[in-house]
Formats: sequence, C-alpha cells, structure tokens
Amino acid sequence: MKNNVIKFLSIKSRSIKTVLFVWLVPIAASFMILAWIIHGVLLDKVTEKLIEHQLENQGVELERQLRPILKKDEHSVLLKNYIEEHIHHGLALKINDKIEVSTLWKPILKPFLESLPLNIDEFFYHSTLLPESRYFIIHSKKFQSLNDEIVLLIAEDISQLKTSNKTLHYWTALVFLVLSFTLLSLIVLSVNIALKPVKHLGFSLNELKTGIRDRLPDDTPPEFQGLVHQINHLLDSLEQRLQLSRQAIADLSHSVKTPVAAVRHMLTDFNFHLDKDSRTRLADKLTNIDKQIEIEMHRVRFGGPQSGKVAKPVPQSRELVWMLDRLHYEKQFELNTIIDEYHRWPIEEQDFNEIIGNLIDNAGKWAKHSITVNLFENNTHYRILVEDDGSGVSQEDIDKIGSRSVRLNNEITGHGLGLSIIIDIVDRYQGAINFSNNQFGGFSVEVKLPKK
Amino acid sequence: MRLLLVEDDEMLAETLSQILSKSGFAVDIVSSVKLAKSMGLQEQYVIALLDMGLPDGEGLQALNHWRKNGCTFPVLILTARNAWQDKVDGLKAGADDYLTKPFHNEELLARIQAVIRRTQGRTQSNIVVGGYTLDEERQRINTPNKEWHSLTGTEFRLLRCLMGRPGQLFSKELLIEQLYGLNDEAEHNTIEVYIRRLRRIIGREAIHTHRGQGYVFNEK
Repeated sequence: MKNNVIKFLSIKSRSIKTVLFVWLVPIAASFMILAWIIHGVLLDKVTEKLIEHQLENQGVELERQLRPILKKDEHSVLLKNYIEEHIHHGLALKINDKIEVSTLWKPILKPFLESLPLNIDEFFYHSTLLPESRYFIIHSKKFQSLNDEIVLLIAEDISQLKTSNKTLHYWTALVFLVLSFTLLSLIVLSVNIALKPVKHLGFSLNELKTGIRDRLPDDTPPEFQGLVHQINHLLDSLEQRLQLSRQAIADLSHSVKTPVAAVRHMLTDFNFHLDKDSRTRLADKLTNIDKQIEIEMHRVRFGGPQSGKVAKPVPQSRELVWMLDRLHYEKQFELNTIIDEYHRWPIEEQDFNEIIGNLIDNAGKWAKHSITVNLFENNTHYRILVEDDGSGVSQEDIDKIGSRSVRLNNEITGHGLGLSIIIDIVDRYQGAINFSNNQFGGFSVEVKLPKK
Repeated sequence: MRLLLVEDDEMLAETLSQILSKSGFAVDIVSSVKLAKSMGLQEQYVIALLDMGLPDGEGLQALNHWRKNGCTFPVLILTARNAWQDKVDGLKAGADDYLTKPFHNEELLARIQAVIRRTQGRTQSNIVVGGYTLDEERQRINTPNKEWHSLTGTEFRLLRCLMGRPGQLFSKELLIEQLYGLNDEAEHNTIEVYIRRLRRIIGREAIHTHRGQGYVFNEK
C-alpha cells in the first residue's frame, strides 16, 4: 500500500500533466476549504467584537446615568426604563449587597452577580442548552460612587446573530465551491497551455519518426532547449557516422576488390607457376588489403566529441600503462597525474584509449628504459604528455610529422599507423598535437584538447 | 615442447601447426572453448596460442578457466580484434602477450620464444595481508571485495614496500628512498599523491597516516 502511494507520487516516470494535476488540484482544493473555514471564524469574531463594543458603550452610558441618582434610590426606575428601551439586553445591578436584575434575565445574570469576584471589568461568553441553545455575551463593570460599590452586568443574547452568521457561512460555501471550480478550470487551462510545447515536441518526434522532418525545431521553451540540442546533435552525428561508414565501405571496396581479384586470378589459374617472387607479390597484396581494412576500421570506430561514454582518464591510462609495462618487460612505464581517479573528460572512451594507447605503444617502441605518461588539466585544455628516453627524432622528421599534411592514409615511417590515428582523432576534437625532443634525449608527444 | 593451439580456422590452424612443428613444438590443435578448457588442464604445455573468437564462446573463457584451476603456462592471444580494451581484457585475464591477426610467421615465432623465455621459472608469488593479496608477478592487487586492480610501476612498488611489513611505520623519506634511485629526484608531494591514488584503488582503511611520521599498512 505504502509502496503504491510512493509509486503514485513518484514524479520521475509519470506524465508531467498527471503530476501537475496530482499536486495542484488537492493543494488548490485544500486552500479553498481552509479559506472558507477562516472566513467562518473571522465572521464570528467580528460579530462578537462588535457586540462587545456596543455593550461597553452602554456600560459607560449607564455608569454616567447611575452615578447621580444612586442616593435617591431610583435605580429600580432606571433599570425598568433601560429594559424597556433595550428589549434584547439584560441588566443586573449590585449596589453593595443589594441585587436588582431584569426579570427575564434573572436565571442567567443572578448567579454571575453572586459568584463573581469583586475586581471585574471584562466580557464573558455564556451558553445554555435547555430549553434551547442560546448564546450570550455579558459585560461586567464595577465602579465606586461615594461609599457605595456598584457592580453592573449588561448582557446580550447573540443566538439569533449566530444563526444568521451560520446561514451566511453556508451561502459562502456555495460561493467558494463556484470559485473552486473556476480555479480548477484555470489550472487545467494553464497546465494545457504550459504543456503545449511538449505536445508540439511529441508531434515533431512523430514527424521525425515518419521521416517528414530530419531535425527537431529549435523554437522550444528553455527547459527543453538542452534536450532538443542534444537530440539534434545525436541526429547530426548519426548522419555523419552513416556517411562516414558508407564512405569507409566505398573506399574499402575500391581499394580491396582489385587486389582481391588479382590474388584470386593468380591462385585459380593453374597454368600460372607460383615461384618465390609470385608468392612474395601475393603476400604483399594481402598485406596491403589488411592495411586498408585496418585504416577503414579505425576510421569508423572514432566516436568524436559528445558521443558515447566519456573517458575516465586516470583508470583508463593506468590500465594501458599496466598492460604495456607487462608487454615491454625490460622497460618501465609510469603514470604521473594529480587528477582525481573518478574525474571524467568529455572525450569518447574509445577515442581516449586510441590516443593514449597509441602514444604509449609508440613511446614503448623507442624508449631505452622508461616511458612517462602525464595527464594535466587547466582552465582551457586537457593535456596528455608522453615522454620516452629513446634517441629522439630529427628536426626534419618533427617538421614532417607536425606539418599536419599527414593523415590516416599516410603512414608515418617509424611510427606505424598509431600516430596517424592520433592526429586524426585530435583533429576531430579540434585539438593540437606537439612533437619535440625532451631533456632526456628522447621524444615527447603532447596532445592538447580544448575545453568547450 | 608441447604447444596448445586453440584456433577454429582450419586453414590457419594447419599452416601454423606446420610452422610450429618445424620449429620444434609438438602441437595439439583444438577448435572450441570446451575442448581448450579440458586440454589445458590435462596436459603439460609450454605455451598456448589462443584465438579470441571461437564457435562456442570467447577464448577468454578458457583462459579464465585455466588460471582459476592453477595452470600457469604462458598464453599468447591471437586476435583479429585490435581495440585497446580487448588487449587490456586479455592481459587482465592472465594472458602474457597478444598478436593481432594477420601476422608474419617470424613475428609469431619470435613472440613465442620471448614469452617462454620471460615466463620460465615463473612462480606464483603473492603477498597476503588481511583481505588484500598483492600479485607480484602480474603487478596487481586483490581487494577484500574480491576485485583485481592493476597497478602502475610506482603504485606497485609502494604497495609492495608497505605490505611487505604490515604494521610497520614507513616515513616519507624512507619510502622515497625505496621507490627512487639516488639519481632520481622525487618531488616533495610525490608520496602523498601516490598514497592518495592507492587509497582510491584499495580503500581508505588499508593505509593509515601517522601525522608527521609516515604511513602504515593496516594488518587487520
């Protein structure tokens, strides 16, 4: 049960519309009910305050009238007059120990006058259940006149007012109900208007699926711009990869089919004598075919920026350093970096492996004793520096490698396919690659990839 | 010298077998993971040549099976896959070298000789402290959660030094002395950087810092 509730309230996988309704409708309804309750309480309070104010004024007025006539013992007359004037009000007087109460109010006011403490000047709320429910507000007042102590009680029956308030409050409930429906309709309208771009995006995705459009429109709300941008980027890179694969297959077909035909003719022509020279030529042809396949395989394997899984430079470098250290038993490979183990670089995982693997592999071939792999990062670039302690490279060769005319199809003498692969990947990331001889007399290659 | 050739391509297996026989090896050819697993355990081979893609599974399955059952003969992987991760996976599983297809016969023979020479007299040498096992031969460590982690040269030497005498306090100067020769200049914070990296790999509990004094490998 609890799990079902949590599942229902979970917003990760629910429709945005449902989540908005699930939260907004109960909240709006609760607020309206709360407002109605507060309205009822305030109505009662305002009425009571008004009556209290009236009673207080009358108390003052009565005190003013009573003071001069007390000695003449005319208070009974005054009381009678007052009751006639204010039929809804009850009045009780206590002059020293003598009590005068209007007849109808005797059962209510007399006990108060008898039991109240002497220091009183406040309001009481009193109710009776039998013979019917009735509510009263009683104001007590105490003052001295010469040597007489006078306690005055003025009371008002507010039962009628309370009933009127209740009726008004119920009518207000009807108004609140109408307001609630209006509010809910507005919520539904707002949610639908706010989610219109999502609906529009859904249509666009459908059009994308059916091939009517090839990209998603850019005019989306800011919340979806990142998503749309990423989807468009993926579509672009998919298209690019498709083109690249087709190009690679076309190139491969072009460069491989002819030598395959030549080899097959040579082998199936039984009149053709396979001497040593012919065998060597056959082997060369096959080596060439293999090289072409290798080049095209590398080309289609490139991920490029913002594709696939991103690289974890330290663990990936560590594994490759460890592996090459094991393969080149007599040489020492070391990894130098202060970059965090879990830190990631936005370079595709395989692309990073190709860069670092080929750099270390090449360095391993040329080093005498040791190879150091350094990983750095600053505000603008990710840097990989691989140094060996071999014999270095002549300035002429450095210029040749650095001329950037070297690409995957042009193998660099002495550096195998590896360096060409690195140059190609670095180009994709709009990075730079620097070659130099280092202080150990060996060769250093530095790859710099820009942060975007 | 008996050699196990695990290769499913008949033509390649046949030609390789001829070349290897001429070089003095008695070659057993198998073409499936299942057969490779049992042959590896039954016979005493001087080396195995293992193809990665076999009809009934991955060559690595056979390699894992051999290593798990204590077979220490060297293994040279022959693979048509040339992604770096495939090579790393092969060596992590216990291979000694890899050769990407196609290869020259001379290169294959040279690699076989090199691997046999390198691994001759190889003994399984481990340092075990608590739940940690340092594999000296393969330069890697097994942590209490039974995971193997490969180590670079300096990381391995530092750990070997600390695990060699668990519970003993090693000062920073002593560790620098052990890790670097007299002619090498280590930077001041080198040890801290490597200790931090090792802790990331093997967990924070394993190496204790005694402030101002040095480091201790936890015995427990």
